[in-house]
Amino acid sequence: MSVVARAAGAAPYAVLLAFAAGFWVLADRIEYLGAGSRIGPDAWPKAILLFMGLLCLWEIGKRLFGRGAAAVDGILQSLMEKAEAADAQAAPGAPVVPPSGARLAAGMAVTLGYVLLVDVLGFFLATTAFLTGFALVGGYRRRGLALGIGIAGSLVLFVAFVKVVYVSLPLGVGPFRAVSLGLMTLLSVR
Amino acid sequence: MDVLAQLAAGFALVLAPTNLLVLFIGLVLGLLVAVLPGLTLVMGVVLALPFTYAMDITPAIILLTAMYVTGTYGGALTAILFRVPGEPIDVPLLWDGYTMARNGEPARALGWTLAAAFVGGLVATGVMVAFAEPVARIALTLSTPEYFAIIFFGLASVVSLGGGSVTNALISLCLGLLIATVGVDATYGAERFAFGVPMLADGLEYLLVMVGAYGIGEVFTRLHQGYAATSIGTAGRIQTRLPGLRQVAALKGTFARGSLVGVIVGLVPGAGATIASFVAYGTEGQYGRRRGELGTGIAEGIVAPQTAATSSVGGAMIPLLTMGIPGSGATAIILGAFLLHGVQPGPQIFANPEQSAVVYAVFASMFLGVIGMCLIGFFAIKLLVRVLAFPEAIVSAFVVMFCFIGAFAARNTLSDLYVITAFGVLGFLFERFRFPIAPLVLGSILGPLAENTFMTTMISFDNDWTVFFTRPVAGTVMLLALVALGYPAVRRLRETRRAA
Repeated sequence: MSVVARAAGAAPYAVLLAFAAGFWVLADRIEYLGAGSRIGPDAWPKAILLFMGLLCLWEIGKRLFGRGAAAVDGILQSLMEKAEAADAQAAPGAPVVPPSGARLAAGMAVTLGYVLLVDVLGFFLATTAFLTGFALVGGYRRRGLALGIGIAGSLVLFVAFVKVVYVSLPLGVGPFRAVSLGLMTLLSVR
Repeated sequence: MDVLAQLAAGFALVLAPTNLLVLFIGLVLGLLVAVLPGLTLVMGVVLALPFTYAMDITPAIILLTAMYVTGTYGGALTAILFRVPGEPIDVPLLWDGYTMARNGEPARALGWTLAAAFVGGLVATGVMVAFAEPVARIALTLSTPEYFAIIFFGLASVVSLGGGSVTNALISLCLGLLIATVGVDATYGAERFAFGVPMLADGLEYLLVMVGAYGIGEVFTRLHQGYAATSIGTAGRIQTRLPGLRQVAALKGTFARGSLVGVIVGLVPGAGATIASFVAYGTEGQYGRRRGELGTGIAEGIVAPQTAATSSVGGAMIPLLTMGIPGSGATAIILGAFLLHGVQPGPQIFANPEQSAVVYAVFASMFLGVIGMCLIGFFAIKLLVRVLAFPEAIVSAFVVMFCFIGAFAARNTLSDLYVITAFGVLGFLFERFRFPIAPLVLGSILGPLAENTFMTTMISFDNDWTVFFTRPVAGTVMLLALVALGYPAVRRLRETRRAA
């Protein structure tokens, strides 16, 4: 295995090790009032961080300098791997869609966009946009139907949560608030 | 006798029109979730949670447990008919269930699945009714070292039984436990890792961790992988043919083994329906009368895993109700629903007549739910499997939306949406780098309880940590936990030696 591949394998554990070290420093700064002989509120997180750090060091060492020995898997993992192998042998699977980073990035962007804009646009408009956008990003081709499902879904959720579950959903600001309030009047939920 | 009287009162409560309606809705939703592409049992129960906020506690718990029970059965339909296991629970059904269907007997395969779910469900509920109160009485006698040992055992078994490598599972668990330390600690009132942010000072709600990591994280993972459409061309001809009583009686050993395995495995935190299903199939392969024919499409290969999967629900509910310790994602959400309605499951629950009535109503609802599940499964199978053709891109969009509403509705604060989105990304990264999510979630749920029992013990016993090993019950449980942690390594060593 090349040095780059080994370093790439160790990288997530290095990040986690740095995280554990940083939080150890923060745990050291926890302020509290208590008897000197008793363990303080920093003891529990420090014990966890120490254990986590040791695990990360072990994995980093194994990945950088080990001979590529297989990891010790949980029981379910072993069972699933055996099952998958047996299943693949018995009947070759359906064609696999290749993973797409762009699709994922777009999906995450739509999701984050919703979180950022729901307070401004209000629940109904933001949800309509999200449901339509996410379906299209996910590969649903029928744009008109996606929009229809987005509007209908948003409306059903709006009514269900405002009228049945009594959740006070965001109404938006300015003209968007007027849309939400108009909708509420129309649905007689005000 | 008292138990039977309480159970009768439970039936009376469930038969109230509202509760009966909620039970029916729970059964239908559970089956739909199990069949819908991209949704899992745990995600389904997560998504239903916000609808329970406005309900009374009894219908709320009835809804979630009904979904939990049916979630162990619904995926079998698509596994058998289309070779599409809804989730890992259903994988063993591919070997004999799908094979039997491919051999021209899909109706018979579905009939055996239904019979197995029926028997497993009734056994599970019977075990719960019989053992919950005695276990709660025992739990009342336990002190903090024993409680800590039990929680430690639960966390250890989640690591050793779960998916992914054991090291990754341990790191995931550490992160979960660390998440639980954010906020004000219960012993000293000291603020930890809050960075001056009021929301963090209140602590991170485990429901946010769970909804984000399980719900949104799974959607991101599936989105990255790409959605594949499933053909349901034969849906029009689907029907179920139930086995005769004589045929069922001939397989009584398989039913008994499956039920027993399911209940025992269900009791172990972190094991759940999937492990139960696999272990039962393996047990049938070792002790079954027709073990040599397993994998060729025989009824035993369907009955064993399905009975175990459904009966594991009863086992999993016992530690939740009697000790307040959830051992799986689904039971963790049910715990969340209890807490949201102001009830803390645990040994005291049976001492409070009002709360005890809720528990017995849940037991009664499970009896009725199993019967209802089978009736719906029998009569509505054609409609159910058609759901499989629903575009996953749209289902996923709605899943994210339900996650958002669930997170928002719990505290009516938009900042929780940022938290679950962050945990969604973390969930995706966990999947990507093969870190299991279950230990993270269970760590964040059981973390406060683990820390409280640990700190109380240390204060009570003058920082003497050996009490966890020197007290008989705590020591035995800790030993079991260490065995559980070491078992995967021993297993790997044995396999390596055998291969060499």
